[in-house]
Amino acid sequence: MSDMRQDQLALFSALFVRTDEATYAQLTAPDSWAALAARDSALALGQPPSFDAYRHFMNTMLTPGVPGALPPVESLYKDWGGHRAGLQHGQGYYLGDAAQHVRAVCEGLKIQVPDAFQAMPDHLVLLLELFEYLRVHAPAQDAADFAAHHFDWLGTYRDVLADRAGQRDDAALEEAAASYGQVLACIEEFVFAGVREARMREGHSLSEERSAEEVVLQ
Amino acid sequence: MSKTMTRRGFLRTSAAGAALAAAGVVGYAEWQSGRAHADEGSAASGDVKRVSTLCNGCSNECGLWVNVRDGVIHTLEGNPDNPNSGGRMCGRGHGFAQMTYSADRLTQPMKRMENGEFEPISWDDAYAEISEKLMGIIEKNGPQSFAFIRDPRPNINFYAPRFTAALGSANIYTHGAACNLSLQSAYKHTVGGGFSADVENAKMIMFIGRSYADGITPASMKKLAELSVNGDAKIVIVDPRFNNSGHLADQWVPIRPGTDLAMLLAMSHVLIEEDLYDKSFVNDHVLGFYAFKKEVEQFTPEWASEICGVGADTIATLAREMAQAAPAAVIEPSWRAAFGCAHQNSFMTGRAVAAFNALLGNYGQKGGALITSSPSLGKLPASKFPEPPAAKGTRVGNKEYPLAVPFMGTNLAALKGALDGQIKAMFFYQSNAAKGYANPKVWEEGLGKCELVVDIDVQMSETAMLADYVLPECSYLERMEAVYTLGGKKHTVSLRDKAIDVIHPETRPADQIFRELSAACGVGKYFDFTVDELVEAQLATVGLTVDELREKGIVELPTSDFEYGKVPEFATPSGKIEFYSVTIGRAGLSPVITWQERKARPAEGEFYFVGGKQSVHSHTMTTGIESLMNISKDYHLERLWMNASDAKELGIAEGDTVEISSSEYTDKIDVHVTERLMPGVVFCPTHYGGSSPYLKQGYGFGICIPNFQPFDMEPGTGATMSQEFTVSIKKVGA
Repeated sequence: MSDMRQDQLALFSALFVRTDEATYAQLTAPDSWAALAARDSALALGQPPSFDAYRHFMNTMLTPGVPGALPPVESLYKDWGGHRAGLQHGQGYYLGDAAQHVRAVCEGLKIQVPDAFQAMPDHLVLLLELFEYLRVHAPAQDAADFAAHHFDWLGTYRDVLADRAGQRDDAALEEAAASYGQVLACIEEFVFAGVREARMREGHSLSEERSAEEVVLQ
Repeated sequence: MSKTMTRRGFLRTSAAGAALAAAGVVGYAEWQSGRAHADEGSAASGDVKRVSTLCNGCSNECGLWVNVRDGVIHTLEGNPDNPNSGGRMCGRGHGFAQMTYSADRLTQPMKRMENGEFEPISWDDAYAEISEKLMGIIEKNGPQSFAFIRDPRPNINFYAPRFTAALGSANIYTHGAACNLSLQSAYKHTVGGGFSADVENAKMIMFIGRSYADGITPASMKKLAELSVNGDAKIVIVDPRFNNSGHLADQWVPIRPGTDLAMLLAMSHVLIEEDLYDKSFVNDHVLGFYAFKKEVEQFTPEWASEICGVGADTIATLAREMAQAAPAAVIEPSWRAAFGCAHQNSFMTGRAVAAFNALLGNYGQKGGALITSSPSLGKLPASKFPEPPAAKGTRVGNKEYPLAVPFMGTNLAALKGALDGQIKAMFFYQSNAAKGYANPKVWEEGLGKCELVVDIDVQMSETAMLADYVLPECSYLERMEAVYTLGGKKHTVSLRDKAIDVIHPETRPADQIFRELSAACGVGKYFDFTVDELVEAQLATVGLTVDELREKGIVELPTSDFEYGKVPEFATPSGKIEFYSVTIGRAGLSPVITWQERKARPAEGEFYFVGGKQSVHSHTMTTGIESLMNISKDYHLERLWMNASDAKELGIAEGDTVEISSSEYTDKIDVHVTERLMPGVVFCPTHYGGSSPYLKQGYGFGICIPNFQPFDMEPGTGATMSQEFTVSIKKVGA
C-alpha cells in the first residue's frame, strides 16, 4: 500500500472508530487533512471538525445504541438477507448478508476479524482495510467485485447522515455532518482509485474518460 | 505523515498465499449461490440446531423452539408442551426476536457525560465508578438510600433481590404498581392470592376489561376461541369498548370506566336478595358475609345503573345467569386492564370480583375460579450459594402502602423517595419506568435528584436516557437464565436458554453483570457462581439435569396437588375468604367490601379516558421493532377512538385531528369514529407517543398516555391509578 493510501486509511479509521484527542490532532493536522482528498479528486475539503465537534458527532451520530445514531455498518443500510426467514427484506439489522459475505471472505483469506467487530465485520473501516488488502494481494477483478458489492451503500449513508443531523437543530452537528459527507465522498474516490490502480497494474488500459463507477462495476 | 504516524489496523492479515486463497471467495454472486446450495442441503438433511427457550416478548414466558442455522436465528415456533404457548407464538414473540439483530441495540456500556451526552466506557471502569459512587452513597446515607426496580423475569427475580439485600437495602420493587398491583393485592387480602379462570370448562364467563385477544397469551386465546366456537358457554365482556375478544363473546356490556365495582356490588346484591348464592360454601369458607350482606342491601341494580351506565335489568339478569351456571361460572380475574392499577377503587374492585366468585361457590370447581399452587425449588447449598442477610430496614413505601403484595411493592414510593431526597441511588432492570409507570415528567424530576441512576437494558429506553450509566445486556436469545417454574393445574419447570452466541462482545448477561458488579461493591461472595452452576443446582433440587430439560424444553413435576371439586386453602389470616378484613381496616380502607368512587369524574363536556393494549405490542418495549410498528402504522392503530354520536356532536369525522387535553397535558391525535365504544368515553392505546425524534420507529406516532396522568397513588397499594383523569376534546381548526 502506498504511503498516501495508508495515510488516507488512517484518517478514515480515526474518523469512524473513536480515537483519543492526541491521535485525532495528529491525523487532522493541515497536511494530513489535505492528503485526505484522493489524488485525482477534485473534491474540496473544508476544515476538519475540531476534536470537540468530532466527539460530539461520534457520541450522537456514530455510537451504536444511542437513539438516532447511524453506525457506519453496511448491513444496517441494506436488506438483511434473502435466504432467511422473517427479516429478509428488513433493514436496520446487524449481521445481514453483507456481513456474512465479509466473514466468508475473511475466513477464505484466513484473516481474523477482531473481537470488537464480531457483530459488524462490515464496519466501514474493516471494509476499507479488506479492500486495500484485496487491492494489493488479490486479482484486480476480486478487488473490483468487492468494491462493487460493499461500498454501494455509501451514497445512501451520506444522505441519511445529513438528514439525521439536520433533524437535531444543532449547527455544530450539521457542520460536522457536512465534513463527514465530504469524507465519505473521499472514501468513494479512494475505492474507485484503488480499483483503477489494481486494474492498471494488471495491464488493463483505461481511458481517462471512463468514470470510476464504471470501472468498479465492470 | 506516514513516517511519524502509526496507523491503527484492525484486520490481522497475512500476505502469504492470499492471491491464491482469494480466488473463489470474494465474488458476492458466487458466495450467494454457494450458500443457497448449502441451505438446500442443510434443510434437506435437517441440519438445523434446535434450542428450547422462553420468549421475552412480554412477561408470559411462553416456551419456544428456536431453529438456528449457521449460528443465526432462522425461525421460532411455540413449544406444544408449554402451557402458555400451547405450540403457538403471537406476533409480539416473532417480532421481538428481531431485536437480537437490531441497530437499536446497546452494544457497549455507556456513561453520561457532563454535557448530557453518552460515551462508551469499559466494563471495568463502569464497575469501578458505579461501585465507588454507590458505596459512597450507602456509607453516607445508609443502605435504604438505594432502590432497585425490575421487570420480573426468571434471572432478575433471583439476582436483583439478592444484590439489593447484599447491600443491606430492603428497597426492591417490580413494575407492578403500573401493572396489576391493585388486583393482586386485592386477591391476596381476600382469597389469599391470585386465581385463574377455568376457561375451557366454564358454562358462563365474564371478562371485566380484560381481552385475551389484545393482551395475548396464545394458549389462553386458544381456549377462549374453542369455548366460543365449540361450547355452549356464555361469554360476556364488560368493557367501555367492544374489544377484540368481543368477536368471540355472546354479549358486550358497555360500562363507564372505573365503575365496575358498582355493577359487581349490585350483582352480589341480586344473588343475596334472591337467595341465589351458594349458602353452604359461604357458611364454610367466607368471613364477614353478614357484614357484606348488610352493606350491599343498598346497592341495588337501579343504584348501580345510575353510576355505571349498565341497565338495571341487564345487571340483574347477568347475576341470575351466573348463579344458574354456577359453579361452572366465573368472573375472570383480569390483569392490568380495568382494575389492575387504573383507579382509586381498583383494589376494592378486585375484592368485589373475588367475593362474587365466592357467592357462586366456584372456587376449585370445574369451570370456576381455580387457586392452584406453584412448584418450589429446593434450598440451594449454602456453601456455594450463601444467602445475604435480610435487610434490617423496612422497604420505602411499605408503611404508607401496606396492602401492596410483598413481591411487588410500589415502585412509585421509590420515586417519591427520590423526590424527597430519601432515595439517592436507583437501579433499573429492563424497566421503562420513566415512560410508563407514572407521569414521565415526575420520573425525570425524581431521577434528576438521584446521585446515581444505573439501567441494565438491551435498548436505550427513555429510562436509560435518564441514567448515569447504562449497562447493556445481551438479548434473551443470547443468554441462559435461572430456572423458571410455573404453577397451575400442573407444575412445570423450563429454562430460558442460550440459542446463539453473544453477538455484540461488549454486552453481557445479567448474571455476569451482577457477579462482577457485586464483586466491585465488596459483596461478591453472594454471587460467586455462574448461571450454569445456578441452574444445575436449582434443577438438582427437583431431581433434574440441564440436559433433560434441554431435550424436552419443559418438564412436568409430580408436585401439583390440584384436584377439581376440592375447595382450596385460602392463605388469608383467617383461612377463609375475607369479605371483611381486619388487615385492610388497619390500612385505613373499609374492612368490608363496599362502594368507593373513582377519583376523577368528567365535568360537562369532558370524557372518561380508557387506555389499553394491542396484540402486536407489549407496553413500550416493542415499539422499536420495525415489523410490529409497520402493523401499527399500516392499520393506523394509534388513533383515538370516539363514539359516533359524540363525534357528530363535536363535528368530528373519521381521520380528523383533535386536540386532547387533561389537567396535565395537551397533545394532538387523529380520531377513529366508531360504534365500538360507549358514548362519553374515549379510548387510546398505551404503547405509542415516542418523545425522542431520534427513535425512528415511534416518534411522531400516537400520543404518550402517561403524560396526561397526574402523579398520584392508590390508597393502600400505591398503584399508579393510570386512568384517573378525564379529557376534553377539540377538533383542530374548528
